[in-house]
Amino acid sequence: MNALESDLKRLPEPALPEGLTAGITARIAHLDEERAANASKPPRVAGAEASRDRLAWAVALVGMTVALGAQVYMLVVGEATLDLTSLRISGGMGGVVEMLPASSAVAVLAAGLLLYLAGLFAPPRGTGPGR
Amino acid sequence: MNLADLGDLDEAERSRPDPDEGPETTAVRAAVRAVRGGDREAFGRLLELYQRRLFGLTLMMVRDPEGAEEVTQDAFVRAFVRLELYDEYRPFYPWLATIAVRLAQNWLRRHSRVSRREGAPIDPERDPALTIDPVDKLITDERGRRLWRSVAALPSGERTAVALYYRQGMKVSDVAHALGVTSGTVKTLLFRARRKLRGALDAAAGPAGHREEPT
Repeated sequence: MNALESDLKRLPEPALPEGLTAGITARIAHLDEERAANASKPPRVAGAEASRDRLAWAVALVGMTVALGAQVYMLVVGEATLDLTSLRISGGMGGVVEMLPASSAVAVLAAGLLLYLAGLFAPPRGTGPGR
Repeated sequence: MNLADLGDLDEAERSRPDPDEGPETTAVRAAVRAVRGGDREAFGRLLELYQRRLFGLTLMMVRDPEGAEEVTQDAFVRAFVRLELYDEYRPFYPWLATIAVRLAQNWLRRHSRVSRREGAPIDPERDPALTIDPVDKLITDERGRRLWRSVAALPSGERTAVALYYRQGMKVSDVAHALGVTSGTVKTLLFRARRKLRGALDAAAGPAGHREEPT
């Protein structure tokens, strides 16, 4: 090894500035306390987001119920027939169109379907502990 | 470029003590396990062992004492937070130094005021990035200060490689990992740094103080 390399190995280490050690120790202590505090809390669910999620689910459920209920009503009162062998109600698209008389039940069915679709395609928001 | 110079690095590295053995390694491993077990105070042991060395590295890189203090703090805090990722069967300091080098590079990008043309001769007296007075307070030996300023006047990659390889005793492969370059690039950086330093120190010493060195 030559003289330059020897000198480079002995390059002086500067003195530590005052407060460096204390600064590091304080930051680590603060971090540690934050971690401990977060670990002891139950997972926090954002209130507004949870409400929106619940509303979306409620709308979907109500819509589905209304739509199914309207269909069942029409079957019960004889305004529609169910043919299980052909997996169609009153056979074919034409039959389906005929099956839907202009009545309040149809309007309810349509409204229920719309609500169901609105709830189903509401923007998702994650609210679980992983967030 | 003299290939023999590059080969000399391999020879020098083979003769270095293995950093994976020794009482320091045992102490580090014990401290790391204690911290992972929840004993935050044990991290103080790692601070004691490495903070001065790390501060020297960051000061050489950023060339600003306040910046070096900030980067050193950030490096230790990040090491504490990411201690789970450290493989305790590998040397601790290269892992810590890698964190510090990346943080120092970010600091330099944010605070860059002077761009140095690669290959320009060293002129520590005229480099505005070298705040002489604060460094003078931290290094009291005149000869040491002169050498420090010469190394600090090198471009960032070269001075970091010099600090990590020579002063801090890291292997070429560990220096390469810290800098994010290949081992070949590290050897090239060291070669260039030595060439510039020889010229600068010989010029500073003057004809009477010329040092004889093997070519």
